Parts: sequence; C-alpha cells; structure tokens
Amino acid sequence: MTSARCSRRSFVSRSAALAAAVTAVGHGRLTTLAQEATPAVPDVGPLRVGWSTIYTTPSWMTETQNEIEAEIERLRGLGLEIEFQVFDANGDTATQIAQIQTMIDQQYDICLLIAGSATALDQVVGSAHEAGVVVVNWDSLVTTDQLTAKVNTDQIEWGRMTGQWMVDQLGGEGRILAINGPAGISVSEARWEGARAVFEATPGIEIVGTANIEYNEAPALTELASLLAANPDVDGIWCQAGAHASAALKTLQQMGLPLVPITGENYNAYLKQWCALVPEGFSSFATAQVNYMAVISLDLAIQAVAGEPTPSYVDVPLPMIDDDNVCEWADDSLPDDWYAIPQVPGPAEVDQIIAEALAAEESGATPASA
Amino acid sequence: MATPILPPAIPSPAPAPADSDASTPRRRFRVDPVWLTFVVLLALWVYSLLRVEGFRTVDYNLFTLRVAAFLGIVAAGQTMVVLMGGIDLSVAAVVTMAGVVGGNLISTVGEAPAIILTLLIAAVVGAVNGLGVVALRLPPLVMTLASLNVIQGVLLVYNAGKPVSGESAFLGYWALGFLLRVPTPVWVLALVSVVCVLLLQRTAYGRAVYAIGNNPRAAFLSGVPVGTVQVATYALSGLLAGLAGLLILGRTGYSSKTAGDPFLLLSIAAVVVGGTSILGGRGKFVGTIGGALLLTVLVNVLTVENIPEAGRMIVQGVLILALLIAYASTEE
Repeated sequence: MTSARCSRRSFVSRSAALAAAVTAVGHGRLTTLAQEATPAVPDVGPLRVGWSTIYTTPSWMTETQNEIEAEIERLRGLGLEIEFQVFDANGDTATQIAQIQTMIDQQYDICLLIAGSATALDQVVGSAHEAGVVVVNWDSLVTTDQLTAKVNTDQIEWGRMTGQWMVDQLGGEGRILAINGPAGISVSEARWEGARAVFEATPGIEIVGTANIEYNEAPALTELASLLAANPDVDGIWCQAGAHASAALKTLQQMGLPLVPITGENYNAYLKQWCALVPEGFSSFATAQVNYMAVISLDLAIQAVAGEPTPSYVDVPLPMIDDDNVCEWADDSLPDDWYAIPQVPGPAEVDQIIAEALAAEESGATPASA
Repeated sequence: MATPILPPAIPSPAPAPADSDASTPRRRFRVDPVWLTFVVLLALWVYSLLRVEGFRTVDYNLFTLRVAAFLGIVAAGQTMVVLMGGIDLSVAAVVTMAGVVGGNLISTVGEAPAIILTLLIAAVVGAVNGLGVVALRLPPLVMTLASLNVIQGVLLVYNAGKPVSGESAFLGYWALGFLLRVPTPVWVLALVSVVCVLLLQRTAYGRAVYAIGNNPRAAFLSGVPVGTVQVATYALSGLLAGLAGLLILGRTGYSSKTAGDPFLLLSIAAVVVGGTSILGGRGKFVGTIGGALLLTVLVNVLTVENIPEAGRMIVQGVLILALLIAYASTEE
C-alpha cells in the first residue's frame, strides 16, 4: 500500500512555504500567493508521481504541464520528495493503457490522468486503483468510478451558458452557425449537448449550419469561409473553442460581413482580437477550461496518499468572460496560441476548493461523481 | 557522402502470357489518372456552384484557390518524394516548426533573416530524413515518422513550449494578399509548380527521381546517384513544408503548435488522388495540383451539406477510395 511507504516528517514552517510560493510565482504562476496563508503540506514520504496524458503537444497541455511542474517545485520547496514523470501516449489509447500499467508495475504512488478515451481506460484505471495507486482524473474523464477522484468543469454547462448567452443576445430569434470540436470527442459532444438543448428549447433559433472542426485555426478558417459563403446572413456564430472563435471573427472581417455575436474560449489570440473590437461594438462571451485543475488534482492526490479524506468529484466553476472583463483576460505578454488565465488560485484556495467539494459531497449536496 | 546502398534485387516480372486470341487483341480503355482527377474536380466544382448560391462568387472561388495553394505547396514536396518511392510523414511537423521557429526568429532577428533561416532549417530537417533513409537504411516511413516525433518533442522544449509569434507584413502579404487580382499563395504555388515540373521533365535529377521510384537497384546500376538524389528530394520536401508553414503563419497571424497537423494525411491524399502511384515511379506533378484542389472543393461541399459529421467522413473516404480504384483499373 502507498501509505506503507510514507515516512515520518514534521510539517514545514509557514515561512518556508511562503518562500516557495514566491518561487512558484517566479515560475510563471500569476497568483496572489505571497499575500495568502499557505497551508502546510501533508506528511508523506517520497512520492512517485506520473502524469498520463493522451498528448502533450497542444499549448493547453503545455500550460497544464507547466502548472504541474510549478506546483511540484513549490512542494519540493516545502520539503516533499517528489519524483515526477510525464507519460505521453501520443494520441494512442493503447499506448496510454500500457503506460498506466507501467505505473502500476513500478509502484507509482500517484497517477494523474487526462484520458484519451472515456471507456477504453476503465479496466486499467480500475487495476491501478485496486493496486493502491491514487488515480486522479481531470479534463477528459473516464467512465469508471474505480479511482480516487475526478476533477472537472461541467462541459454541458459550458455549452448551456454559452448557448444561453447567444439566445439572449439575439433576443431569442436568429439564424446561427454551430462550430464544434472533432466528432466523438467527449468534451466536444458534452458542450454541444448543453448548447443544443438551449437552442432546441428556443423556437426562434435556427441552426443553419454546423461543422466539426479540430481545435486548430487554419482548418477552421477554411470551413467557416464555406459556411459563411453559404449563409452570409447569419445572426450569430456559436463556437465551443477559442481557435474556432478566432477563425470566425477573422473570416467575418475578411469577407466584409457584419461582426455578429460569437461565443468562444480564453484562447489568447481570440481574446486579444475581441478586446480590440469592443469599442467598435463587437460582442462576445467565453469561458475557460482552467489549467489549474491540474494543481487541484495533484494536491488532492497528495492528500489522498496522506490518508486524508478527499472528495470523489471536484466541480471547478467555469469563469465568465464578457465584453466588460475581456481586456483583463487578454494578455499581450503571452503567446497567441495560449490560454490566458489572469489569476490562478493559490495553495490555500486550492485546499478550500477541495474541502468545499468534500463538504458538499458529505452533505449530499452534490453527486459523489459526475 | 554516404556510400549508396545497393537496393535489393527485384525479380524480373514474369513474361506476359500470350494473348489467347492474337487476331482479336483485347482492347483496354485507358484514361490518364490526371485527366480523371480533373474531370472529378470539375464535376464536384459544378455541383458546388449549383448547390450553394454563395459559392458562385469570384471572391469565394479565389478563396478556395488560396486554401488549396497552402496544401498544394506541401503536397508538391510530397509528390517528389512519393514519385521516388518514398514518403514524408514529417511534413506536418515541419509546417508547425516553421511557424513556431519562424515566428520566434522574426521577433528576435528580424523578418528577412528569420525567413531565410527558417527555410534553411526546414531543408536541413528534410536532408536529415534523406540521410536517415540513405545512410542508416531506414524505411522512409520509419525515418520520417521518427522525425515527426523528434520535432514535436523539440517544439515542446523550444522556448519553454511557448510559441512566440512575430509580426510579418511580408508573410501576411504572401498569405492573404492579391497580386494581379489572384491570391498571392497561388502565385507561390505556381512558382513552385514550374520549378518542380522543370526539375522532373527537363533535368537529369527528374529522370533520376522516376528511375529510383521505378526500380532503385536498376537506377543505381545505371549510374544514378541514388543517395544524393534521395537526400536532395527529402530536403526539397522539407523546404516546401517550411515555406507552407511560414505562409500559414502569415495567414493566421500567429504561431501555433498544431498548425501543421492537418497536412500529415492531406498532403499524401492530394498526391495519390492526383494519380501518382504511392509505390513511386508513376505520376505527374500536375495531378497533385488537381488533387489539392479536389480535396479542398470536397471539404467545402461537405462542410455546407447538412449531414452529420459521420456521413461527411464516409463520403470523403468513399470518394477517395473510388478514385483510387478507378486509377487502378486504368493501369495495365
């Protein structure tokens, strides 16, 4: 068992934590860490932590990896011994299964997981759980509940709230385009499920065109040009991703069409364009799949290794980006192909998010898993 | 220079069976696959015009040409490699690399040096692919797949994984501008095409490419510098993928670590849909241009059809398959 490998160590002083927190800021985490009380870390021994991810190439994944590594550096500064390894499946679910099996065989303490398939990993994840590996899954979730915890935003709510904004913006009537991610991807399907329910419940909304486009601006530019050539009189463009929204906005501009309302995501290229166009009356709404879910997952996993009670599901709130605050989100110092988040929760806030999820679960206010 | 490898002997084809009835030789209707490509392209284009009113504008059709040009430039290099009997899976990563490295260099060393350096790096990556195939005797599929992974890995650590963008009016013009009312990328593709056609049809290098594609052992025994031609051809493929990457940087206005992803299979599809044999030695460059246009028009048509994504994917796959079967049936 993992706990058997734990060694005795006294809690680290708060001053050391503060110093480490400042170091974390230096590693790129834009937080208010220095101003907040930093909680002590659990008393656990040397940890072997593996991050199994379906791929690492997209910028969102790079940001996520940066978040994990910054948090690990912070924890090392507090005295924890952590060995960290990234397992990149390169888009292949079979590879990911084999890599998780390797973690089991090599007696990893913690398996952090972004799944490449909702169902294919269920068995190996269950095996890891049975073998005593703490498995915490976020972003792309597995179906099984045979693991320590899941952490995520509500993707259906993502679609619902952006869809509702579009309906409200159009006064309940209009012709719209709906731009989704690749067909069959769980995140894409869930967002569309939420939005479609809103559109179908609004008789005045007509979806005149849909497309499934990978989360990549260049192909989105091509397909949006076709859709807008066929439907130049659309009243709005519902996009579930930032690269799509950026492509939609550019295509409207290039084709000389009115800048109709668009929904999007915290993709920096889009945020910067949107911010610049607010004075001209362009209106949009976006949310974010926050990268700091990785930090929540890691901290939760360490608490679980220490034997502390942890929730089985943490629902991370979706932020709202609108015309009033978009320029606070757009960040000129970050690359365009990046997901801007102006403020990342500090350790105390992360602990609070976990504690609140546990309290809600114990009181029966939220389901044990989602 | 690495010692050229003597390709394995290829058994001589068995003599053709005597015609059972010499007095009435079998006549076989044969169509040049390139013609077939353009006939299907024309049919699809006419269908798109009839189907969608918005497609009947000059602007939209110029836009289609612009999009096809990006694919055509990548596929041009792929064509040379495939004609030679190889394959280049690394083009997707090279397109991405050119955008990321080019964007970063533009912001540090300036526009012109950045563009030259980026193209040079792309060509070197291609040459390394060629060296791997020639000197290490690695199958092209394995070598270029490995390159793809290595480049993706390097981009993850390059500048801490942050794809810095650089403003480039020059690239913006050559990606989004017009010259004599024709989209600028089309001019770039035209120039690339002229060079490739001249290379293939008017030079010893071109004859060597076809010869290696047909029978590398025979080419070697005939005195063709097989290794040199292979390295040069992979370098050309890398160079053209790098050029496309820079133009895509100009098109989107920023560097992205996934910019090249769509070109991995599309560039190969454009080549084979254009009638070039995936086994090498047979095909015409102009077919690839038709293939790139056909795939672009097909995506445009399927995008506006109100059918589920699964249906679109099936239609796209079946059409490509039907074309390949039609090509095969025209071969001896």
